[in-house]
Amino acid sequence: MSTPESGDHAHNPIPKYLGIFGFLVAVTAFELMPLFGILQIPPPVLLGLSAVKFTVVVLFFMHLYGDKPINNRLFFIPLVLAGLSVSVLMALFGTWSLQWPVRTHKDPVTGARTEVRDSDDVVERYRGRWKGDCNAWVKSAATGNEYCSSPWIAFTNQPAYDALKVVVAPPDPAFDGWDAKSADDKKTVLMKKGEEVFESKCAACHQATGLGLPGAFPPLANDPIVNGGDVSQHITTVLKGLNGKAINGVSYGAAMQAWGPVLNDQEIASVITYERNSWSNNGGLVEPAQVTALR
Amino acid sequence: MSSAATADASHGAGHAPAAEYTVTGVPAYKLAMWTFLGSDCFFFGSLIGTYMSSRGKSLNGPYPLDVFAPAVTSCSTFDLLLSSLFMVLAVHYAKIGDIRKFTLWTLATMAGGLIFLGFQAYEFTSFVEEGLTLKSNLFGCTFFVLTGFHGAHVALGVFLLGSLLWAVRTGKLADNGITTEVIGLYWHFVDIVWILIFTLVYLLEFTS
Repeated sequence: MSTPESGDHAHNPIPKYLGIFGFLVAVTAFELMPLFGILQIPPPVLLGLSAVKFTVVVLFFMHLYGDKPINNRLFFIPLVLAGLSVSVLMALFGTWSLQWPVRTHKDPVTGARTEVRDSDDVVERYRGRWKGDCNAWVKSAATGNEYCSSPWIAFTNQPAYDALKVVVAPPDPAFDGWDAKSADDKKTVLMKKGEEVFESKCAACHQATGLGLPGAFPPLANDPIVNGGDVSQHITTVLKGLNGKAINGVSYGAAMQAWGPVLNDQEIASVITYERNSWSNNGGLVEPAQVTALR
Repeated sequence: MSSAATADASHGAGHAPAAEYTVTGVPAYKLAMWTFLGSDCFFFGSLIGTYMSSRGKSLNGPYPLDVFAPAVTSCSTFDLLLSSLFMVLAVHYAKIGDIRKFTLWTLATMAGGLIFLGFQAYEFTSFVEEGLTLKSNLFGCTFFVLTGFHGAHVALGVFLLGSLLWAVRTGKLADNGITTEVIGLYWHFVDIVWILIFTLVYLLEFTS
């Protein structure tokens, strides 16, 4: 039973194995606590615990403890060198801080950017799955997790991602006493607000000329829906977005994002009024209440 | 893998392994395995280094916390830990020549590996479903390459254990002590790589 390369296991080693296993389970259970929001463990402690588990398995399950020096050298020298490589790479790429980078949150009204750091909201972000940052949540049949359907797939750039992080603007004072206003006053307010919204949200794709970009984004000028057509379809498109639908017989590759969660009813009514009364389009006014009704 | 080394000079089942010894006094296959594991440290070192140096540099999501499912990862971590215990028991019974218990614990170890692979398949599927692929961002690329190669190691381990069982049950391997020990080294190495991945990739995301 004794072998030339390892010690004699004359005694029964199973209790020792079970003890080591119990220790590993206990350490792992402790490490898991942050995952379920029970406890915060600082990264250095987690790394230390990981190193302890690693060492215990190597020494007692792989029997390097008391094993021949050649086996120890064959393993530990490459291990240390590999660990150094990882450390140096992390230092070179500046990832020792172990933080995801600062992202910015753009205020939709003032355009001011504020920093959003993971450390501030990391627990909430996990629990809430970033619900506030996404405009279309879809439940995964496999995991039961909710995930954001549109931004990851439809957009692959930071500005688009930032655009989804907006919060809905408060009501505009220009709309105060709305029901008492004359039709002309209403149109003035809607067109002014609508132009602002169009330029900040819509013109990037549909262009300031309302002509879109052939093959990529559909035109709004002289579109049958926009130019005096079905108002409710126009409102629904702005609210819910559009994807994979042929417009006037032409298919467009890009999906339109749903603006319902991002813009308030005043803004949507304004931008639709603006679209229906610009570029030789000739539609009527759209009241905020019509948008509310279709949400 | 080491049947040639162990079958040619047997002292009888359950006794000292009849492997070829190198001049270091270590059986050839064990020395080869330690050498391989040393090189595998570099292999996983490069993958972990790539993951860690790319960490936090994805320009768009999904970010780790968008996709990680703590319950799944916890289960697979305990599962792999448990399989390490089974492996060490299989090695023990192989060395004292208890073929029945050796077979039992080897099968349990294989089951642990297969369950881990099942969790990983489930995890990968749900990640892809949530928009994280090899090419969606830097996180997806480095994550799938790192954990995918770890999963491939687990799969190879299950295959090695299966081959070992087959060789022992068909009498092609008269003395399985040293072979089981060498495969056990590989299995534990795969477990310790997971200990690192679990901490660096998963746990660190949940600290603030």
